[in-house]
Formats: sequence, structure tokens, C-alpha cells
Amino acid sequence: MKKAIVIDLKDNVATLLADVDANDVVQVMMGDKTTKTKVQERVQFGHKFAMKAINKGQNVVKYGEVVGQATKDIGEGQHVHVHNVESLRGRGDLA
Amino acid sequence: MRFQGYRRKNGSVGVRNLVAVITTTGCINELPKLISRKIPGTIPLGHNLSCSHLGDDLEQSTRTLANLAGNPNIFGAVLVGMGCEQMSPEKIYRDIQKLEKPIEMLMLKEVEDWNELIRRGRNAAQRMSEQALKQEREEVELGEISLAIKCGGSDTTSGVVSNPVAGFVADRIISEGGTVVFTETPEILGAEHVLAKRAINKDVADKVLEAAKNTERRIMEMGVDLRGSEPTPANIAGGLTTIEEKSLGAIVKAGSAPLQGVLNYGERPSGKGLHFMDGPARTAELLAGIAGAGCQLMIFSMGGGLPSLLPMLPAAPARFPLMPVIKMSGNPDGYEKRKDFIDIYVGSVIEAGETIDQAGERLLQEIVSVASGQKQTIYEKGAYEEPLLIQIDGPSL
Repeated sequence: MKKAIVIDLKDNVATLLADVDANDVVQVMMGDKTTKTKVQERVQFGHKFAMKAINKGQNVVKYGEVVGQATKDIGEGQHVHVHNVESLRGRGDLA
Repeated sequence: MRFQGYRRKNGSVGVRNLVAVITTTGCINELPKLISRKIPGTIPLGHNLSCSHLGDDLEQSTRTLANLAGNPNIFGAVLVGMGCEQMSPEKIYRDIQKLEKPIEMLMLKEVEDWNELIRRGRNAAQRMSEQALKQEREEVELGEISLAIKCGGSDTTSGVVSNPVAGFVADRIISEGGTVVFTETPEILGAEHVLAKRAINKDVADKVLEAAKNTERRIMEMGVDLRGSEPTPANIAGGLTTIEEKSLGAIVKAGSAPLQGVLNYGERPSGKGLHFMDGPARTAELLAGIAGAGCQLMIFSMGGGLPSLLPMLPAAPARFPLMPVIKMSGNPDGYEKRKDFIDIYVGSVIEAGETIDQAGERLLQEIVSVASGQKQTIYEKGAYEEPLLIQIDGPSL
């Protein structure tokens, strides 16, 4: 089975260790435990998907830390990347 | 653990034994090349700076040049220049002397004849090369290593595999009494609070936070969105979404030891253990700064993607002679295409169930082999003739 990894238990995203197609079920490693999750869409190796629903404006958490904010509602198993997350740092455009 | 190195008079230990021909001005980068040509173990060090920078930048470049000669891999140096440049050759000369390195200085101002300058320079380099060749390696503790760790061409495997492997090695080197230096201030944005918590005192914590704040302030003052360049388009293709994600993955390469100090660009740490250098992420400028900090070798932790298909380091001179650089990749995706350009592959953590610790032990063995001169890294092979790039922060005049 294709694998993904959750780095910190506080994370709401997992990183894929293989390319997956829509509706593929992947084995997710979380510390000593593993769980299974269905990925909703085609997502590339190394990219992330949501482990649970993340609403617009909510923080995206990886490494147990905030890595950005959702710009749209993201459903469980959906691809999480630049199309639905924005950085909160170095935003001279907002200054 | 032990390795075979060259013990210097000042107590430091080199993993290579080089004579550096250093110019005090980038006006005459041809001169170190002409002087060092075909003299064994002799390297030309030109650079980008002449009478073109001011204030703190002048201090930074002067410090960096002296400290490059002070790098443990350098046996001694021949300092050449015009004699009318903005950087003071005399100051650089005295600073290199303080580091107890053999040093000779030749200025066009005194010799007044270009060809005679080359002839005298070659004589000096020849004499020093003969002395250097007489020195032999001896067995020393691994704690004599000062290891630089950089990541580049990052993707999400960097934070999951190759940076954790580098971090394992960083912790091991420090537990053996050694030093680890990491840098890349733009790539701690979003992770500086994590580093600050690991600082040994408030002063060090404040310096890390200040370094990140200053870099972010300068970006904000430009009125642009950092996302235009961090993460890079190649990082984004590899799955990295924001600078915060990139930074949090990047600091993993520095392991988990307490942070002992924050260095200026090209500055030598005053003690052992983990140090952060406030400096650029771009490889070319980073290399000169980190060699100035006295690191004898560097780990370059990579993901996959286009940068990993290069035989050289991305955004760097085609060769960098001062320190061997060990290229490591942890991305199995398309690895076949880049295997000739990677010194150590750790994608086995993803593919074959190797643990981070096992891969780390392999990397440690690789470091011992490279440090002992039993192995040359891919990046180290071949001739080097390009000038170094020394970072300046103010205007280039």
C-alpha cells in the first residue's frame, strides 16, 4: 500500500511518499502508529493532503507548527498546497 | 570516533592541506590564477569585491578574507593585491598571522611590475607548497570536526528524510565534542521561535529572533510578497507550500543540540557545539561565509527535482576548493537520473525501510572517509578557477 507520513501528532496534514490517484487509500504513519486514509484527488509524491477538514482561515499545521493559513475550505483527503494555503510571513504585499 | 587530519600550529585540524593564493581586491582575479597554476595543492582565491563597498560590509569582507586563510584546510596563504584597495591588506595580513598561519604578502605598489609580481608570487607559493607537502596526516578525534550543513533544491523529502539524517549526524558530531554551523536566515522564517527555544541563554535567543526579524523587515520594505522567491518554484513543484513549511523542514538538519551562539557572516565561533550564522541562503555567498567560519567540510542536503540533476551545487561556483561538500539526497523519485551527482543516497529510508539512525551512521562513515582523504567528493573533483562571492548587505558602488 502507498504510504504517507504525519510528522507531529498536532499536524492536520500528511506528506505523501508516493504518487496517488483519486480515491486511493494510503497507509499513514504517525509516530509509532499507522492509520488508513482515503485521498480524494490525484496528488503527487511529496505533496500534502488534509488529515481532517480545514476551514478557510484556519491554520495548516505540520511539524507541530503553523505553516500557513487555508484560503479555502479544504476537505479531508484533499490536496493541500499553494492553491488553498497562503504563507503568513514576508508579506510585503500586505504591508 | 577518529579520523586522519592535518594538525595546524593553532590546534585546529584540516581535512585537506592547501596553499591559498588570496587577492585583496577583485580587480586582479587573474593574478592568483597565474600564481597558483600547476603548483601542487595550491588554490587561487579571487572574489567579487574591489573599492566598491562601505562600513559594515568592509569589515565583513576583511574578516571573511582573513578567516578564509584561517580555515583549518589551509596550510598557509600568499596574499596578493594592488596596494591601493579599500580593504586593508596589512590588516588582513596581521589577522592571518594571529591565526598562526604561514603567510607572505606581495603588493603591486611595492613591486611595480606585473610580471615580477607573478614571478615572486609563484616563488612564494612554490616554497609554501613544498612545506605543506611535508606535513602528514595524523589520527585525531572526530570532535575536531566543524561541520557545515546546508540544504538546497529542497522538496518535502528534505524535511522528512535527508535533513533528519543530517540532524542525526549534527547531534553525533556535537556529542563527540565537535562543532556544527548552519545558516540561511531567510530559511528560518517561520521556525525562528523553535530555534530560540533551543538557545543556551536569552542573548542567543534574541540574536536568532533579531536575525529573522531583520531579514523579514527588509523584504517587507521592498513591498513585495516573499512567495515570489521563497519557496522557489522548484520547491513548490516538490510539494513545499510556504516559507514556514520550508523553514521548519530546514532547521531539522541542525539536529537537536542546544544553540550555543549566533555568528556574523564569515565569523569564527568562539566555542564548540551548534552555531547559527546570520547569512544568505544562496549557495555562492554562503560557501565563502561558512568556510570563513572554519568549517572543514559541508553536507549539502537535497531533495529531487531539477536542481538535483546538476553535477555542481545549485547557485554556486562550479567548484569550491576550500572544503569538500558531500551531496546527499533522500528522494527516490527519479533517483537513477541523478545518481552520478549524489555522494550519498538516503532515499532508502522511504524505499527500503532503513531508519534515519542507520542512514545517519552511513553518512557519518562517509564524513570520516572524506575527512581522512580516503575519498574525494563529486563536487571536489576537477579544477577550480572561479572567484568566490562574498556577501555584502549595503550598496555595491
